[in-house]
Amino acid sequence: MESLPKSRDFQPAAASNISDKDLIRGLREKADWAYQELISRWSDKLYQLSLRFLKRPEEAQEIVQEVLLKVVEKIDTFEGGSSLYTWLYRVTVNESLMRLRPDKGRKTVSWEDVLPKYENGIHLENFSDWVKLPDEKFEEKEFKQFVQESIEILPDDLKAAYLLKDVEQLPEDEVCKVLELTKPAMKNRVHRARLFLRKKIEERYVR
Amino acid sequence: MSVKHKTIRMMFTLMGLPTCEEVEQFAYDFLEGALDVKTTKAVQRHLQACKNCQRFIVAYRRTSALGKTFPRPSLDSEFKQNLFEFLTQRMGKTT
Repeated sequence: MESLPKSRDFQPAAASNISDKDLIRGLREKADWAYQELISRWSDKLYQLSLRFLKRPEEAQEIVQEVLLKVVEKIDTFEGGSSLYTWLYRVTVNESLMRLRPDKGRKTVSWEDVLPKYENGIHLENFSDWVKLPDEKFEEKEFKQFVQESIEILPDDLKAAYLLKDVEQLPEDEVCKVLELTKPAMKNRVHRARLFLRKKIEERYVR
Repeated sequence: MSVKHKTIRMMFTLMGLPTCEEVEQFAYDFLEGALDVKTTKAVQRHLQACKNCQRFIVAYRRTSALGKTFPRPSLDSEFKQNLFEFLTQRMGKTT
């Protein structure tokens, strides 16, 4: 990140009632309060999302900087067809995925091993009983690490859908807007990501 | 097709219930409460009759809920200060 002289102080904004419309107007006017509001309201959320894609905090911080710079630079072209929220998440997902692409050494998913198998619509395999898996297991560092590593193997399109829907807990319509997907396509991606994670967890912890 | 699977399939058909594969395809909407009443009841009746699908749905629901447990780290105040200065300076330079 570029090193800069400290000229003005950043005042973290308390929970505010500033509307998107007013925030956009403030950003267009290059008002300090608008930059403060933008950072206060969004930087942590964008950081968390980017970190889930990239793992490395320094890279996630760079993404936050790039995304917010891009947004303030292009704020005059923002037409309001979508919400500021959608725009920020979309740019963050795209920038994060761009960083992931050069990593050719990543493992990939073998869907034949992951998707449930059927014979004439009836299960061919017996599932394990997850009631045996205590809730406390989900809080263990090693378990979280395993889940994180499993998510990394997911194809980018499924990973993005899963992270936005199940981790960031965005409403379905927002996930669709961010990823520019129809609702059936979004559901299909989240569903397949869940099937994959279910299988990975079951193989390791439940059998 | 094995006799066992043929018999199970026939049982579901006679009961007017979805197959296991259909239950899997309904799983997302079932969890969201987005299925119509008739389909929801049919899935619920299938689950009452099929232990394997009960286990599948429990696992699927817990996998979905897993995301809520992820850590949510914050950026430190020094980073935010630097970011604020970076944005104001960069935008100041362009005008």
